[in-house]
Amino acid sequence: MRAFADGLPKEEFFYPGHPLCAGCSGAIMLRWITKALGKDTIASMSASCMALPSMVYPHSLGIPCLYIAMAPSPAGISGISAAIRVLKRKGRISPDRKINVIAIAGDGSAADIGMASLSGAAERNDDGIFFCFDNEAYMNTGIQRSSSTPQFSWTTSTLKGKIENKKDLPKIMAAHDVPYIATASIAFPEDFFKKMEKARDLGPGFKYVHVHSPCPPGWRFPESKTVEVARLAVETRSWPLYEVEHGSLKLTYRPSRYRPVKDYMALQGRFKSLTDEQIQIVQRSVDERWEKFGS
Amino acid sequence: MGTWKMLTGNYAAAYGAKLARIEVAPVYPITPQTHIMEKIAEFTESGELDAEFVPVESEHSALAVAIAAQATGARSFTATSAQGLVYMHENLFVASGLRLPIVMVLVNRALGAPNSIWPDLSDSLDQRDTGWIQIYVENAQEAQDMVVQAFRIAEDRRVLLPVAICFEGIIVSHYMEPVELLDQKKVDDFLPTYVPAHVVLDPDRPMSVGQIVMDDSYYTEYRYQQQVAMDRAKEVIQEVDGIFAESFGRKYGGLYSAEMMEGAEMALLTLGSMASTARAVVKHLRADKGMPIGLIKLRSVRPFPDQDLRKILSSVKIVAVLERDVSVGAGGIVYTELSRCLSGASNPHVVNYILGLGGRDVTFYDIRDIALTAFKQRHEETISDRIRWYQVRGLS
Amino acid sequence: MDKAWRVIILENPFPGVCGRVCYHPCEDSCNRHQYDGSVSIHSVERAIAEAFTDKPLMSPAKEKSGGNVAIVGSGPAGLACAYFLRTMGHRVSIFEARRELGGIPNVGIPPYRLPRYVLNKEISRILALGVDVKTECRVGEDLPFSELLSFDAVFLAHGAQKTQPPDIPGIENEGVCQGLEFLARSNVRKEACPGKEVVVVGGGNVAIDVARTLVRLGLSPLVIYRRTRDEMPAYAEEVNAAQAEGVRFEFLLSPALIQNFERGRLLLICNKMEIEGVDQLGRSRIVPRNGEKATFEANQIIMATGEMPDLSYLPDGFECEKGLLSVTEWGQTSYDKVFAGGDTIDQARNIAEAIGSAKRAAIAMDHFMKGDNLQDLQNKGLLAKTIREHMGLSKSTLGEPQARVHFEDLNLAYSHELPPHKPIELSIHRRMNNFEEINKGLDLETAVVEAERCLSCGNCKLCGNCYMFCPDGAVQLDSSTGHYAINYDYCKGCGICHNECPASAIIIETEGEV
Repeated sequence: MRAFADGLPKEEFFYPGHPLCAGCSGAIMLRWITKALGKDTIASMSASCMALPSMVYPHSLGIPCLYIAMAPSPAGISGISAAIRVLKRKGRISPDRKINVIAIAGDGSAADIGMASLSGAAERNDDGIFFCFDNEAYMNTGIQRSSSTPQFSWTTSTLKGKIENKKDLPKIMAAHDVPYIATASIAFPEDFFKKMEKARDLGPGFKYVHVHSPCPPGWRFPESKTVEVARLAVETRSWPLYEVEHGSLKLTYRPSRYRPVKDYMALQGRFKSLTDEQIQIVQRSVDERWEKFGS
Repeated sequence: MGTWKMLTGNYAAAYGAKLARIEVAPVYPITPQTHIMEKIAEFTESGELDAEFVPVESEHSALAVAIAAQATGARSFTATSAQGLVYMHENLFVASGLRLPIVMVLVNRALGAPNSIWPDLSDSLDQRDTGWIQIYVENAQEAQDMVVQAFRIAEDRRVLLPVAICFEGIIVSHYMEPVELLDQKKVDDFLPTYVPAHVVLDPDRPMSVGQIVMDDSYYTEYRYQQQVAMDRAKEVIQEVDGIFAESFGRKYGGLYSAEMMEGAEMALLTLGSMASTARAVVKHLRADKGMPIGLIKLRSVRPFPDQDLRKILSSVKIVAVLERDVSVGAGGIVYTELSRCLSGASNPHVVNYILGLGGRDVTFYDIRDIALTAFKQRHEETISDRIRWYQVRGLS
Repeated sequence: MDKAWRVIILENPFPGVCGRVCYHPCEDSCNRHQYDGSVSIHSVERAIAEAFTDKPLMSPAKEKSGGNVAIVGSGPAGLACAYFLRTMGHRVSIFEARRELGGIPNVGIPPYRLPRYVLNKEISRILALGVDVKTECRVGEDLPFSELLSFDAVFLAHGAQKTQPPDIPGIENEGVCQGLEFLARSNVRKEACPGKEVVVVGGGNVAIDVARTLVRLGLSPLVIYRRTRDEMPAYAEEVNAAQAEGVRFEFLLSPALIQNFERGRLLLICNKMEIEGVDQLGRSRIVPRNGEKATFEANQIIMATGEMPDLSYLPDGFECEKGLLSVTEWGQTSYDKVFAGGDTIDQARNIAEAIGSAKRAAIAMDHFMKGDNLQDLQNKGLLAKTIREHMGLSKSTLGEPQARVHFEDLNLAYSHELPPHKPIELSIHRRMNNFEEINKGLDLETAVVEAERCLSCGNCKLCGNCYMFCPDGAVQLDSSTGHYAINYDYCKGCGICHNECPASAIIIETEGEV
């Protein structure tokens, strides 16, 4: 029986020896992104945990990377792809060479400080794939809340639990009417790879992939459970896996059994102070949102 | 005899960019720069200019896109003013720290609050610590010429620093003058294709651009290298001024222009359009009153021409620095720079006239008035009130 | 497929037979039992055996350095031992009392459970390796035991075929016969059974085989057993099948007297029994119930109440207990060059145990003939339990075998429910009047799908999860071994691989002080 892993390119472009935490979902994500997209890729990085393996010598990311500031990784897509276009016209880059332009930004960058840059690049339909690495807080600076932090979650800046809901960034990006947006999870490799390959092979335009990325120190769970927590997020429908291609939405995974959200929350220390009522509130909103996806 | 056009400063700068064959132009509109953006849009739309025009959603992104494009190997250009410049402040350090030879036109405008769209040099002068070369021009012709020169200066291997060409909003940006357009072929000879010197985003040579440098690593050395580049820029600016003069017949003097300084006991030092007015005043006072007074038109604020100014001002008794800016709590910025440069022994008095802030008109009579007042003080032992706010309404 | 065949055949020369008559205790231990049903290991084994039915066995190892071994009995234990010893390079002579080879599978198990051609094929395949066979040669009668001692080693595997007639008055009457005897007549010689009404006494597999054979001869037998149905030693599947085929059962009845009633008719008078507490073995104690009796009329009474080995041929000096030959864990009797296995010794009577005992003995005999000290080897844990281990064919890249992986240790997120594939069986009415094989087995394609249900507990099945999920890329495929290996220079010990391994094949340990 052929395993999914057998069909993947063996070459690694994300090398071991990086300083990311043990069990970091971002490390898994970077390995997969580089495997799916290959060596002819240029990455524009925002400040986030992912800047560590790419921007500190010795580097773990074996593709060209550019770091400008915290907000403008989408602007990086704009600039790099614009330069490639003009350099191809002028013959300084071979016109038939396919170079993937990507950006990797955390939720803090994408949903907060870099929202304008992200919205701008999407609106202009700049050519590239933007990956939002969503660990649901400003983790690199020590677990402060972002607009992407889920309701009731503990963070160092929401010690009694965040009041506001999680900003639905994929939905906002879908409203930009870009060629492709998708949600992904590091517990569902086949789904993730399919989406990356789709984004890669679509014609020029702005593609957005939002990767749900559990964080052991930030969400307070043992580092061996990263994939399990990610899987539970999807199985409890807290993180629906879907894609929107030119406005038409499709769920890419339906859990066969709907597990209650408390199964997901039970593994994470950031939710340990939740009351039953609060859990019910979350369950209701998960159910309501799922209903909107239709059956 | 070249082609002549009636152009505003903005349009002239845009023509300069077109002649320099810019390749990526991310721009965000802001008064009084907007026409530059519109002209570039026109050029790219019509095909006259083969470039990627990127109408970004903020100035912060404008410079970010320019950085990304330049790092990929394309010649990049943008323009902004005041609030926009300050919004991209963070990225100014990134551009110079990465040694990317981006050229930006700064159409000087007052910084809010209070809000104003009128000329004031505080916006660009406030950014003098960002590691950019800053050159101030006084009219549309100079604007076009310097945009072209700027690329050559920036891309010079001895420099590799971004360059800002600054001129006042409204006064230079919006007033029309006859401008001789440079010949494209001559510009191509003067300015070859951009070839990345040190960093490039190329999958065949993967590298990380924009490092996090550890505390025990080379941050100091990076900065030191920038300083060395800034120092070398002084000679490069002079060189390019000379080569440009040979090709195109116009010479601006490089870091500064010392005019009518023979036998001068006093110098008026200023930048931008005020130099035009000051020139007229100096001419008149010399001719009419036989005053031994001269003009220093400061062009380069960074690199600041320390040694040259020390030399040329050593024989003068008093220098009046006239500037359309202030650093609240200190005084005029150019004055402060000049004082730093001239500190020490037998040097002239330096007095500072802060005027024209927020676009207030500075007339021939204002400058003449200042010249006469300062001239009278040239023999005084000490001058205590050196920082002078000119004609503040409501004061006695 | 070829590899699967070789894995099986190395350890068991009778996959076709086992795939039909083994009662598959392996399936009870199968962890998948607690999920959606055990893997049908039994049916899979059979399917592979059928796919390779014509493939010859591997040729033996070095001939010259081998010893000379005598094997008494050609049942599964005897033949398997012959096979193992042949592959180790020894010379083997089998002495079989009957005319045909095969032991219980030949004599005792009816063809609707085990077609003769399947058994014969597997036997001839073993013999083709070069085994010397003497039939109609009963040790103690046709061949003195002392002659066996001239061999380098001896393996006693004649089994338990002496029926113990219980002490019931009237048992010598005509019309009363023993179960095994009846089966031998039916299975081998195809003799019909006289009489229409038959009572079968007993609760073991022999009793059931007898009953189901009678059904196929058109009769309606009654089985009486002295204990309850749950306590019947016969396999539950067999009892269920018997019941479905129309066999009648009555429980808690113990034969007391057999009377000759009229010509050709017998009366069987039984004591009704009841349960009163437990005996020393933990079984329920049964006692006659107030002298109540039950009487049955029959043309034939078949006693299937238990068989024992006939050890009369053995000289003194052999330790026995409860009528069975005593042996060490590795099958050695109290006489050093004589080993024993199968139903001859005290172990459960089924083909798996028989072959297992033959293997242990063959390994021990191999060591013995080389002059090794068996107790010493056992103490050091060097006495192998599998042929693979003994012949040094184990791939040691995966390290020492780990502790048993339990169902709770598995990560089932990567499995989905799929109930076991059940083979097609002949319908009840199609079974009557013939001895056609009931169980049609699984076709090879289905068997492969069934085999893929195996959760591979404790063994890596190269699913690639560890490789995919390692955040440090520290788990990579080692091209020289074909297995995933961990690069300890870069492993941060997060344990994701351990958590996500569906087979619980990765262990995480804390080194040094905590």
